[in-house]
Amino acid sequence: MITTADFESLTDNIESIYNEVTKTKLAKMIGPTFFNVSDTDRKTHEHLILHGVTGIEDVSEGQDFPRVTTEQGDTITWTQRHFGAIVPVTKDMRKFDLHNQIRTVVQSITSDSWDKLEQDYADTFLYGWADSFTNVYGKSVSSLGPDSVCLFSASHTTPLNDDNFNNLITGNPVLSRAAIVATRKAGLVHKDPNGQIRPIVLDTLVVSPSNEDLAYRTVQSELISGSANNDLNPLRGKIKIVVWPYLETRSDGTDTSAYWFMLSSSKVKESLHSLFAERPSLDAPEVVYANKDWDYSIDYYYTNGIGFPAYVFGSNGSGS
Amino acid sequence: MSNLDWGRLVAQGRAKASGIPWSAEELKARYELGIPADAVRRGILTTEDYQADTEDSQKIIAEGEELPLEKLKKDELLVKAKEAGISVVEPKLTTKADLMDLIKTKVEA
Repeated sequence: MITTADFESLTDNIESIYNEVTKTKLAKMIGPTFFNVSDTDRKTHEHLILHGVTGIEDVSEGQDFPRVTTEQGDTITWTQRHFGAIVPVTKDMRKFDLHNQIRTVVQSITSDSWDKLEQDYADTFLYGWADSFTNVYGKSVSSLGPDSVCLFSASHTTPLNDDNFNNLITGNPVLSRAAIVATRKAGLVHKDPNGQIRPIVLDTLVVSPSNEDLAYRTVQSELISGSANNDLNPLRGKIKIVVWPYLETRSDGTDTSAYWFMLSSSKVKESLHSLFAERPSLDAPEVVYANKDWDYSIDYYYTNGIGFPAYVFGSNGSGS
Repeated sequence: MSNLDWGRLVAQGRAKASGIPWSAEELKARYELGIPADAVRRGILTTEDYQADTEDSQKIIAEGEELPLEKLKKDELLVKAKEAGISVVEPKLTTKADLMDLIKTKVEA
C-alpha cells in the first residue's frame, strides 16, 4: 500500500514518468519548428507589424543621410488561455499498489497535453481558410490575421495601400510538380507594400502522410517523372520535405490529407507565433489526504497567433 | 485568442465592420473589382451594380435632392450629425452605422 509516507517517492516517480513522456513527445513535435515559440509574462501581448521601412537613397558627398520612414502596420493582440487537467492517483491505486495504472494515467494525460498542443499548431494551418474555428480544446477561436483576413488568402492587405498580396496557392490545387514550381515563383517575386521585390524563398514543403510518397517522388527524384530521360528535376535539393502526421485529420475529424503547404524556413516564424506564459508542467498536490485521491495536475498557459502571413503558403487540394 | 485593431481596419476599408471581416465575395468585389468599401458594405458586389448605383447617386444630385444617409461618406455624415446637434467627440471611434442611427432618430424626433 502506498501511504502518505511514500508521497515524496511517488511524486519523484510520477515526475520522472512525466519527463520521460515529455522528452519523447518534444523530440517528435513539428509545430514548434514552424512557430516562433517564446515566453511572456503578460496576459495580453500586442504584436505590431512594421511595413515599408524604406529610405536608402543616392547620397551626394557631404549630404546628410536620409532618415528612414516607417508606416505603422497592423496590430494584433493575443490573449493567454489556461489549459490543465488533474492527474488522479486514486485511493484504489494506492491501496492496492497499482503502479501500472498510475504509470498509464500519467503517461496518458501527459501525452494528451502535448498531442493537443501539436494538433493546435496543425489546426492553425488546417483552418487557414476559415475566419474562426473550434479548436482542439472545444473553444471557438478566431483564425484571422492582423489584416482581418484568414491565414491563406489571395486578398491580404496592408495599411499602406489597396494593393494586396497572395499566400493562397492559386486554385487550391492538389500537390503536383507544376503547383510547387508556380508557388516557388510566386514567393520569389513577392513585392512589399512599397512595390519593392522582397523574394520569399519557399524552401520547405509540408505534407500529410498521405502525400509523403508523392512529395518525395516529385521533389527528390533526379529526373522528372514521365519526361524524357535528360529532363532534370530542378526542384531536387532546393526543397526540404516535412511530413506532419497531424495534417492528416483536423481536430473536428475532417479528412485534410490533401492539404499541403510551402514555407520559408528562415522567415516562417514571423508569420506564426506561440507565446507561453507558462510551459506545460506537472505539479504535486499541496495537501495530501490519507484517504482520498491524490490530485496531481498538469497545466499551462499559451496562445497561438498569426503575424505577417506572407511566409507561408497553403492549398487545401480542393481545386477551387 | 486574438483581437485585431478593428477600428483602424474598418476605417481603412479593410474590414466590413468591427468584428466582421469581408466574406470571400466581398473581398473579390473590394480588391479584384476595385469597388469602394462603403458600396460593398451596402451589398454592391458587381461592377454593373456599382455603375448603376453611381448613376443613381448622380441623378439624385442632378435633381437637387439629398443623397440618402446610406450613400453618404463618413465625413459627410459627421457634418450632418453636427447640423443635427449631435456632439461627436471621438469621430474615429464612431461608426457610420452609429451616425446614421443617431441622425435618423434625431430627424424623426
